[in-house]
Amino acid sequence: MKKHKTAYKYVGKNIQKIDGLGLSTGKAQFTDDIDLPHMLYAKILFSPHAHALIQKIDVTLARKSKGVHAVLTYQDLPRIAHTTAGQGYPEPSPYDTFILDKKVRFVGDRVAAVAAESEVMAEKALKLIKVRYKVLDKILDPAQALKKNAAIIHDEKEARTVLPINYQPKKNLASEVKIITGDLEKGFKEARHIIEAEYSAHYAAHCCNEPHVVITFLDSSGRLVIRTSTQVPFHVRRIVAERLKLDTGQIRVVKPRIGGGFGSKQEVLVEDICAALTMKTGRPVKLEYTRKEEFISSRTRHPQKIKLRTGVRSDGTLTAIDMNMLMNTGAYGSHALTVACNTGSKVLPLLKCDNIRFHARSVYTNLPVGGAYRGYGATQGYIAMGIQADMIAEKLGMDILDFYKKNHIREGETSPIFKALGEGREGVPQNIESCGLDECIDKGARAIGWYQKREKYKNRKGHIRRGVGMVCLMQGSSIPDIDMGAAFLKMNEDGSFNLLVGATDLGTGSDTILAQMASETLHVDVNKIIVYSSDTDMTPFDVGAYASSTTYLSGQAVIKASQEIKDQILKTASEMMGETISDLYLENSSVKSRISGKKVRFKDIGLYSLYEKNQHQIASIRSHITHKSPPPFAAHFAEVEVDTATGKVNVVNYIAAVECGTAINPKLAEGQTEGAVLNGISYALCEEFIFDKDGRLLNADFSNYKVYMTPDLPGLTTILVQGYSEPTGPYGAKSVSEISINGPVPAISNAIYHACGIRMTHPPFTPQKILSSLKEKLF
Amino acid sequence: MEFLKITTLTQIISEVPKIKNRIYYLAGGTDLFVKIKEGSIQENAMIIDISDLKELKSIKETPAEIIIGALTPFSQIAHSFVINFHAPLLCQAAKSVGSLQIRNRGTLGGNIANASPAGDSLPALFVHDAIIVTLKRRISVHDFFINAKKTVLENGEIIKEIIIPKINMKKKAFFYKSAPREALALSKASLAVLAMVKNKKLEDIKIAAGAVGPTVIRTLRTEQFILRNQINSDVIAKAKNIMISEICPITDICSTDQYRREIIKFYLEEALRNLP
Repeated sequence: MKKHKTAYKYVGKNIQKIDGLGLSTGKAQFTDDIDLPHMLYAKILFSPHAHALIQKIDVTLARKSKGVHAVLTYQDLPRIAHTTAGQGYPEPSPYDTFILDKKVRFVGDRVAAVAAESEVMAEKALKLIKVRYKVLDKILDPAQALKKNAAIIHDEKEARTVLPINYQPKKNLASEVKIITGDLEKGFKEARHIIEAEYSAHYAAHCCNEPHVVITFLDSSGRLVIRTSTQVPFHVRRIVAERLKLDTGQIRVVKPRIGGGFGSKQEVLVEDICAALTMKTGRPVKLEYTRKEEFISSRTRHPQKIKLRTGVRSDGTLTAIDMNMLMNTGAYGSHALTVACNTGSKVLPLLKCDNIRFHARSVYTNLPVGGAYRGYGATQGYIAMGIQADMIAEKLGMDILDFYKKNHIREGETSPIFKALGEGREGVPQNIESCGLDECIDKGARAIGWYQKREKYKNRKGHIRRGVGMVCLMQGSSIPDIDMGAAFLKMNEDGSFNLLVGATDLGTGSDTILAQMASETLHVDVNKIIVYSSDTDMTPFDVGAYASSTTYLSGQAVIKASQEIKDQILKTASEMMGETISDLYLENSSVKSRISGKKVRFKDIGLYSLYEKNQHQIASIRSHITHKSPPPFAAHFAEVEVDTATGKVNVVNYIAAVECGTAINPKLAEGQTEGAVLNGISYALCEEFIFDKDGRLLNADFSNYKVYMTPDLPGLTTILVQGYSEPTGPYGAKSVSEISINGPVPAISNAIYHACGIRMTHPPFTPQKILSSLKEKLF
Repeated sequence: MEFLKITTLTQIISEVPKIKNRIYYLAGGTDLFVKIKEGSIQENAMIIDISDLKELKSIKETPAEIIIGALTPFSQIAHSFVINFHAPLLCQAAKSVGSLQIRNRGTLGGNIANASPAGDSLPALFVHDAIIVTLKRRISVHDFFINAKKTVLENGEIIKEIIIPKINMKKKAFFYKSAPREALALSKASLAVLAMVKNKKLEDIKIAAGAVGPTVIRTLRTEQFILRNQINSDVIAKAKNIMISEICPITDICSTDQYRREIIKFYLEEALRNLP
């Protein structure tokens, strides 16, 4: 494997986050941090029923209530079917949602909205709204959704898809994908062993510190301004315009600092109704979900049930993979198709196999709505593939590390899946051009003491058992031929630069790493790059922060714009110095001549270009699309302690070895990895949605929906495997933000198996479940 | 909701009898504010802030007793030398409460008045036969709780202090708690075991289980069975079965009744095996 070593001055360095000081001193402003004169506060009435028709809704008293300025029901709004998924145009998710509707489809569906002079007044008004529901039969089990006489959740005539996919709302089928490569039957015939098992992935909430929050107002010329906590400002502009029948140009979307997204803010969820209230009242309106509302009404990780059948030769060669998946998309089909596709497309190419069948169906139920969530289907898929790989290796008597090394995709290789499976359509074929997975496996194994512990923990006595387990992973970097990011760069007379990007920093650090790339290209310090991101009036377009795309995609746009600026700087310098461009080069905020040794500083060039001669603005705007989605790779190792008396699983050690191409800012890449791992451990052991028999979420708060916190952190080591430069990436970078959430469930499950011999395939691995599995094993 | 701040006991005696509303005392507020947010406090309730009532914030010692002021926060109890010497279980329990922030605010009196069956300090108080002293009476901890979230306290009656009788014998103490994560978690089940040993012989044993019934349960029949027998595997197995018959766990969002039984059995076995 070839390794690249290039010396950079700003790239690959732990530059302090450019918004770090402002954030940590409380000066940076989040959506909620402003108060506008005459602002109203919005509150939503949520459905108490899982499936019901609104027979009558009387808002007379609510409208008369003190301080109330507007009450909206479905009768007051245009009926335009749309999806809340903030995806590219046209969205691959079904159009099955209305701002407000006369039918409610899950507990937490929106029924009405109020804007009043205070939150208390708005809440009082909600209580005065009288609704008569006709309760309908409901579907709470996805396995029942496709049954013949099941209730029909989307019987409205408007429900449709824009893309030609198998969408049958009358059957509660929100999407279906079926692909076959090679000859499955032949593959299974060639197999020495066939291994088959069922897995599940459960609901989870994103739990961002900052909930969904938006402030809408009309500016002095009557344009609608939406200040919102979003991952997709440009999609918000387009989609809100469609829903409210406005011109896109009439809307400005501003993204301030964001307190986390993890996919939940790839939804255009609260902006439409808040904007409708501003349009109705002419006043600024703020809508902020409470934690409870976040739990019951926003978006979740799609639960899945996966049947996986694999054929393998005695030497460990995979001959066939058959993955059959049923996904619960909840009451609406947000990301129903694409999350399902990703379960195949980000998981199946990792291990080489010619004969693959992937069949996925997403079904509607009267439960909370799925959406984008870090990992985006891959997390679910790796539960199945990551545990099954361990089972295969065990069957073969092979060390799992050798199994992965024998089978994983390598530089120069491709997978038929890349072409067969895209985002709601055929995918884009690609060869792998960078892969450091072997080094991830080796370094991770050494760090955790793999071989010694696999031996040592084998036959332990007593009720506390230890085990080690591992899993290999890949993800992608942006959506090829669909995603676009653009950057605008201009030079000021003091030699500083304004970098305006559509790319959306959610706390991820993208503003910082994009500045690092501009610095590297322009040979200036990072503090000379003034970044402003995500304001639809001011910055160029970007699809937004999702699909692990910002570094890889938006980064290239920044580099392209920087290079063009560099050419303009050289041209102006050559004019000033009277020398030819080919003799000049950039160094330390200056242009120097190889011939005369003379130099001009950037600030002289800035002043000259704006004030002295041939005055012009040195500036560039460039866009980037990609034809590839190069995967980052990772090997995760977990060491667990299982108390076989109480069923408690304690992760004592966790190693995440990640190869993400060049890490533009290693500290931030490490932060992304640690965050994802803890997020994943919490999902593996603790987090779960508990419903009653009517589909009500019983633990819609942080006291009862447990999320792991700092004291629960295991010894956690991130190893960034460096030197694998991705030729198509900015300074060799690939993505890093999502991949590591995929590891904990399978790695911990495999470690539990090593510790006490039980195969846990249905997370979360709570003490209750561990204990009952141990009992089953005994009897 | 009305609000009143009181800073001396004399004020309580003079002011409180005049109040006709339902009274909630604000001590640490760690449970009360959650209730207010949930909307489970009556509209016309009177909130009396006693958090600055310094008279109730001390740990005192007499030859026969430890007297803990009702407003003593858990962090103080957790680090009290006196309590650790005479009632180490209470220290352990105090250390397991909520999180550091909650322990700094939350008080022993509040934990008692809140009357949650999962209240972390309660099993320790049960095995120590603590006495709860209000401004007008002394109540044994065993008579104090009526049901989940229900006590014998009358409206406005305030807990002044908690008395722990000293035990002048060699003690062995065990406290176990099962929770889904390290901090800020309600226990699924907890067990406190206090054994008195004299010349390596078990003289007395007291066992109380939390979160496995409407109140904390003192398991007297299990205690007596253990006292009547020499501890061996057979006796442990039988003791576990008696224990199970004395508790009545339910299935809720924290755990299942079956799991709670399993874990209590395991905790009892752990304690008994470590007794000699």
